[in-house]
Amino acid sequence: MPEITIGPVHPLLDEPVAVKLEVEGKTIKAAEIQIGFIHRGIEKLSERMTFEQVTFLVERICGICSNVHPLCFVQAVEDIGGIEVPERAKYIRTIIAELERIHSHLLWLGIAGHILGAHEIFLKSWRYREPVLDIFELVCGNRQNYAMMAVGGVRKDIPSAYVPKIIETLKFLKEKVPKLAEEVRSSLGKRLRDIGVLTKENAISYCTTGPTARATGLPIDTRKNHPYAAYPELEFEIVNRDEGDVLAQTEVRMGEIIQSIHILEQALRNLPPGEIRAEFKNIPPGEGIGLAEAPRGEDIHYVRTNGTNMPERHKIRAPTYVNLPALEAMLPGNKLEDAFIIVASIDPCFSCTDRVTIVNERGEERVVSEEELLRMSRNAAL
Amino acid sequence: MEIEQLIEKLRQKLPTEEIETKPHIGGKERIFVLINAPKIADAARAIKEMGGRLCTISCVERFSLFELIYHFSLDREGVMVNLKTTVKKTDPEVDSVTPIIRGAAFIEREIHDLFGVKFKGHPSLKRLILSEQWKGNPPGNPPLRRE
Amino acid sequence: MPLFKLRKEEGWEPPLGGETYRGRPQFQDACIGCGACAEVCPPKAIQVKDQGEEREIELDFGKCIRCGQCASACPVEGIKVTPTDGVFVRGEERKIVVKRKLVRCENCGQPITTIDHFRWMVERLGTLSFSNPTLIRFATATDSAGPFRILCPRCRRLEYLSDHGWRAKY
Repeated sequence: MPEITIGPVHPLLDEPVAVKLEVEGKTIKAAEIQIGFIHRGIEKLSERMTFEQVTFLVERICGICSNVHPLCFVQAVEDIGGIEVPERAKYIRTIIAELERIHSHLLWLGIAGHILGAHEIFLKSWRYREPVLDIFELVCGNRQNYAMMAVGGVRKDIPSAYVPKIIETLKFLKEKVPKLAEEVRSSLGKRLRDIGVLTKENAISYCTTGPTARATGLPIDTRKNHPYAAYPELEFEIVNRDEGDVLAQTEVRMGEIIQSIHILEQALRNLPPGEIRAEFKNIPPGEGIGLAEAPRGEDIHYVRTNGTNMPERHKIRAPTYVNLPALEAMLPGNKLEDAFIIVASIDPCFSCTDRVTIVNERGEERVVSEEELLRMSRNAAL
Repeated sequence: MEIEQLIEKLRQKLPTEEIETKPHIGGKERIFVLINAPKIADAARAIKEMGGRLCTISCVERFSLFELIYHFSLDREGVMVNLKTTVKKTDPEVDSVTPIIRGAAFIEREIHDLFGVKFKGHPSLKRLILSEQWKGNPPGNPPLRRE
Repeated sequence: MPLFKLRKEEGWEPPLGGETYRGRPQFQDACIGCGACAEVCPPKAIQVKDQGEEREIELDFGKCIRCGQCASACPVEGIKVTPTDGVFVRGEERKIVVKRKLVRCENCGQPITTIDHFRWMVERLGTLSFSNPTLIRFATATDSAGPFRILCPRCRRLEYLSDHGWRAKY
């Protein structure tokens, strides 16, 4: 049975992956995932840097969900030291986390549009993302890698002069995003229906998290199950769908943008005054776990300390790590031209393909470029 | 359900193990259960039947042991249950939980790559994240060890 | 900074880094050469080199991640984060250096710290600096050798313990 490898390198996203597909005709029969092309040894590096320095190291694990890793790490360290974070710092952490969720979901929407040939959606969603990145530049100093988290609180404050600008951006998004969602539903709905279906049993047995799991009907969300930061005091809903296909995941993500805007409005209204960073002497020996809800799912950091100012062991499990094996259950039974969008539907934090090698039964190899695979995906019957 | 009721339920399913809780500021306490290595598969099955979802498995290196910690999340109750077990460094072997929980496949392969711990019963314990050019298959030269 | 002007007719301009942008750090004249920036720098882009009578603190822009920890850790605003940044062109120097005069231990010859750092310590401690023989030399602002030697912490403690002079006579 001929095998197609969607190989490791792609310029757009962070971590490369190789997806080996066994095809019969144009239908996928089985899939196998290979990862490890961008193993950078971050857990080993953590053992040689102080806690403050590790906060900047883990920011650079991912370019899109770059705030959730420092948030998780500082929560793990605060768990060990029993450090109480001031109220204002909790609210600022929530504000940055939700703004990041909005920008990440809009970015995903653009990539989905790009893969399917719907360029209008790509251009619009990335254009609506710009004001959010401008807010980050205003508040944090950079459009990416915000450097806001610190053990015990946050590094910089949000002055009250900036709050009206954030509220103006939210009003802009509240007006444009529902219209964009309607457009996605009407133009891409039929194409995305019933492809890449993940059943609820498979979602439980592969331990998936995030929008991938919420699209199958599982009501799991770290912000509700293990509340952190200011979430216990804010009202929001978990967005669920039942079908488990790619359209359900799209709907879940678009619904989450609206929920994030709702959370942000509450947080900005109730931002309490006070300190932004708690003092502490040193971190005692012990172990701690930090959990957070990234745009892609649940992120968990486990830290063990031995009394020095460097961690002894730092274990990171990013959300894509548990969502990737679910692809082995989502891909079989679908057509080859849908492979691209199914792999992208779990919102993987990696790059997809630069070259594809098709090996047919005679053992001959034919190298297919990215354009051809994209063209196949875009020309599929709408 | 409250923490005490949960601990009672755990004690019924895993009768001979030590259970301790660790306080966590701003949330519910976290439960740590110390287990012997041969019983890890039964314990994982018991927690999965209670509705637990495996988050990840951490491996910490001590002087002459490897400590494996299985992190489970009981989503409905909002409690984390962590199973701790140890294996000797000279012959690190433990039963795999992949036949029970399919999501553990990648996680166990990573620990095998980086520390050299063997998981009995794993369907395909191949190299996962190290490149093929890394010299020395485990147990030759696993990178995260101190030696 | 224009936020929603998405067309030229509405007044859109190409975005430049606003005043809050975290760009390249630059050394200022107020630097005292203490080396705190080098200790906190996450990628170790700032290196302290002690040679002869001079301490050189060098910042490599290729390694710098523009995090701003150096500016947060600096006690005197000797290094500041500027809002400008850019790609490097051929021939442009990728490292900046600041030099300060170094003070070495009169006993073992190891570098202690810079003259400016000692003066800053004396100013902060006020009368408490008279509890430390090395600081008295800088507090009294004379360069001539007094009864106290300039010693690194280790040699100073050894001298307390062995206590030349007064007790040796009796």
